[in-house]
Amino acid sequence: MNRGKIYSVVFVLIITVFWGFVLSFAAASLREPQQANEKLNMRTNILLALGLVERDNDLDAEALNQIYDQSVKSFLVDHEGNEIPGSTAEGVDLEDELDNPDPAVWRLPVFVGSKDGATVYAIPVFGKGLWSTLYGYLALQQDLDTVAGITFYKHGETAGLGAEIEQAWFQDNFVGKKVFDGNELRSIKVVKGKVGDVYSNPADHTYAVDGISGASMTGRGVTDLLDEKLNIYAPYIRRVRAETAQRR
Amino acid sequence: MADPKVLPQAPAIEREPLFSPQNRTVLKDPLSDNNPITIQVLGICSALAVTTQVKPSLVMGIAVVFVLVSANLIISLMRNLIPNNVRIIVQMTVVASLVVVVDQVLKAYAFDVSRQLSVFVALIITNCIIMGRLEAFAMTNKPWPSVLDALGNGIGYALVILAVGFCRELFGSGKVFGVQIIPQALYNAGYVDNGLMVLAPGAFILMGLLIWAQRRMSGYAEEA
Repeated sequence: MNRGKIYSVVFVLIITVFWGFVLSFAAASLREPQQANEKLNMRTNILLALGLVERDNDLDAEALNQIYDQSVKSFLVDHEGNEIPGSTAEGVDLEDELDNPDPAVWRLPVFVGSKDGATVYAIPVFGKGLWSTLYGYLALQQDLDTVAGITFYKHGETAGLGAEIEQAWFQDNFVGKKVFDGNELRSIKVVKGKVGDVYSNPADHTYAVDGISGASMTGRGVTDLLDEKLNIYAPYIRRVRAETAQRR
Repeated sequence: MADPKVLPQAPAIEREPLFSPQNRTVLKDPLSDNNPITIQVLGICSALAVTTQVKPSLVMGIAVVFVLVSANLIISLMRNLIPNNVRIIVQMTVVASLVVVVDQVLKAYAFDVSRQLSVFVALIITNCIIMGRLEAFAMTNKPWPSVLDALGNGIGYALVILAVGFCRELFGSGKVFGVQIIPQALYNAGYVDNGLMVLAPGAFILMGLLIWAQRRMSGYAEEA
């Protein structure tokens, strides 16, 4: 149908405004359940990283929230590693905190659970992969050295390639690896290919995990984000490690 | 429509019955004889990507049916108003908006599935089946046949991806809808899940077999 240019412009304008309204309405009215889902997803991933729930469990939202409320405590630490008294990490987003150029005002969330009588610590980690920012949690054992677990709960990497970071096989590879080499923070490297092929010295295997074939960039992203976030948390980690060592 | 000049003598045939033979063809044809996937080979990208399990396949099928039916209906209602020179843009706007709504609803009420489907919900926008039906059918047909056409094509798409999802989940992980189907005894006897089925090539092979079977039955052959 041809009615001239003005008609077309007006028509498109009306369509755009109409659908704009529909979308705003949908977004606004669904925000609450969406946020509840996201929050539960984060909590579930904290529990997973800490090893307090099994992967592929059949727990519903209520059960997961209950376990979380009962067994996970959270607090904030400053950039010098001092615990902020009376603080809770609920609602504090590490990404927002780090956006502030002044480290002195950072509040870094720490989540603590207890498994088999030992304390387990989880910190949020995030960083750029290939296409997207990866979000996850890294959990360390009581020694703040051995990895207890890692999860990634949000990303936009290629399905079947980078998105494998969400899979059990990839995440399970981190369990038992170490982040400290003596007193030096070494973090964990996602290698290209298999660890055994990259490092001939078995001592290095403690600080590396197998990469995902076809997703080297995502792997590099994981390496970088772990290194970066561990360094941000390093003052706290070192302080607690020193205190534990003293007590022994 | 009840214009006496066009339909001179006939209150009796003034309205086409809702399920007239012609409308039934519009609905039934894309289910098998003109299936969008197995005959027209459209919408393959999402069909390969989301079919590792039955559940995401089902949700994807429902999402596509919803978007396709709504879009076909809306475009058909507006078909005489849409300026020809911007019709594709208008179609895209409608489809994209509907897809965003579906995505939002999934995020609110089917969070796990929405995570599994990830980008493929958003990619419904680029599903050729949808734009194809809008251009080929809704732009030139009345609303009711357009709805039937959309239902036919949407369900035709959904049936195929469900079949693929069923085979992939059953042979790839021994489950259907997440419920273990292949008994443990069989595994103990040495049965192993076929890992290929979980990967994209498994979907390609299944889809190829399905297309072959379908064309064999309907006698459809592509012109050389």
